Amino acid sequence: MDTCVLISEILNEDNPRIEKLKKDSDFHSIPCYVSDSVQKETEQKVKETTDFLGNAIKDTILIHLEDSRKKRKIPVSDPMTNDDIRALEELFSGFQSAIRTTTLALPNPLSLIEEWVISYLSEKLDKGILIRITDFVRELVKSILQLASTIQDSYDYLITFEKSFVRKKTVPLDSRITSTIEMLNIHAPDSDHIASAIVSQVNTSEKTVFVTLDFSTILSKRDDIRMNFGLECCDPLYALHHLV
Amino acid sequence: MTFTAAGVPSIDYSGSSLRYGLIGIKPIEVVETVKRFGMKFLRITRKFDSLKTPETYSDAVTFQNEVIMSSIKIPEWFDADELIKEFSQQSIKNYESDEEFKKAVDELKKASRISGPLLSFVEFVKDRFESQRDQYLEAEAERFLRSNFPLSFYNKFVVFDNTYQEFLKILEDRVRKHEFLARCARNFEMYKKRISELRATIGPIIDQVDACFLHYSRVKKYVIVWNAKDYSELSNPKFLDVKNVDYVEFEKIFNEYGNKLMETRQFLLHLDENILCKEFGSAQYATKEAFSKLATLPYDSLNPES
Repeated sequence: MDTCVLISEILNEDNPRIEKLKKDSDFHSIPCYVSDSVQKETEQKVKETTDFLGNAIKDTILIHLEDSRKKRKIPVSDPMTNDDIRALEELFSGFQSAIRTTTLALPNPLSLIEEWVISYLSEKLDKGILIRITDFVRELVKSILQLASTIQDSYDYLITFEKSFVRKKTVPLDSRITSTIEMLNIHAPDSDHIASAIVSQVNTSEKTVFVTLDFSTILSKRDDIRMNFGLECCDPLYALHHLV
Repeated sequence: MTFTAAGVPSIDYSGSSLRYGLIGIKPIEVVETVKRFGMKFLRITRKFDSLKTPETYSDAVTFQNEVIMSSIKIPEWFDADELIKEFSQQSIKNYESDEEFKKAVDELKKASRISGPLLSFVEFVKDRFESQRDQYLEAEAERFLRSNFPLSFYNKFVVFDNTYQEFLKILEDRVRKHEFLARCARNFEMYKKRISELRATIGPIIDQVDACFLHYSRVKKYVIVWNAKDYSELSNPKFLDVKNVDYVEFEKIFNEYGNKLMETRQFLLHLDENILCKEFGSAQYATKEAFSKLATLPYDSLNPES
């Protein structure tokens, strides 16, 4: 299983594709494994996302809101208003312009934070809730802490303590296989995940399917992977049908 | 759980107090002759007496602080013995000024066997913990905003809070079951036996959580000690700067805490399979949406320098 499948499951997104995989795995007693590299990447992504959100709130949003109040000569302790939302608009549009001139129009992390923060604040203002900048920022941090701790529970249940349909599997990585996969323009850590599945298939002599939702990097190259390494890569919806 | 005065969690004595409330007790039977309507009756009351002296809490926190301070490097501007004294005194002060808690312990000792005093005591501790959860979360958020430690560092303490909450639920369940059996006992000997069984059941659970709390407390005190300039700042250093700690030692202490936390969660999971099955609340929906999209962005999107 790939990291994206695991993250979706940990976040309890009720993805119908993964639900079918779980049902098939249970009904046909087909084991689902995650490699060390997938486990490591998942932990790292959760940690990085938590820290990124925390730093964006503390070092970007809080500082900009306070600076904007100073410029407008309004005490920082006054309740937030639509003017503060407009101050954030100014902040985010500055970032967007900088990004547009340098990179392609991919969804960027700051635009995701912008959607979340503005909706959160606007909801408070709509309800007539008086909230100061410090309280608003603290509420945002609290909501991330609360979410991240629930994610940890979900991660431990699924992976650390293997209480659901997933089992951990340690497979020694073969650098020759990894570098050959990289020649297909699939880079680490995806190349490590695929290499683990290939080695596992060879070691156990059991048909193995690498399940992923990542079309752009992996599924688009599934024919090359099959031809070169004999490993099937597919969407979770079809995993069973490649095994029976 | 989080810091209040002197860097001591407001309920840091919960584990220890549960120990004294539930394990450091022995059942006693008081037989009195009372006169009612001109007739003499025998009144038998069953109570709990403490196996320990009141100083035991003080001894326990002092011992905990001794263990912590002897296992970490102390900055040259502090004296280890003074630190032990400062941290212990603050814990004892908090414990002694907690009238609500003292009242609950008194009620436990006075209560007869009919009213389920042990269960009432655990329920009291659990309800209080749950009612204060938001304050603990808020204090961690506040601390993060006055530090340059990453948010994931503070999240490890929130995970402990979740674990502690589950521990209290498990404890409540075990005490309910065993106290019910004790109340059904035919005679006092059987009653004592049941209470002894209860102690044997919950003892290892409290031991495990106490050991985890020690590691949790060690990380927090280590960070505080290296960020406080003098004894008066131990209660609340202005800013927690990651650059003030020896990173190698900090990482070791933090990893040991992480391992103990995982061990404790696994221990509790053996007792109740459902403790980690949490639903994401509807209030978390927007945050979860943002988190999910960020976490599935292409590799290194959040960390372009690496």
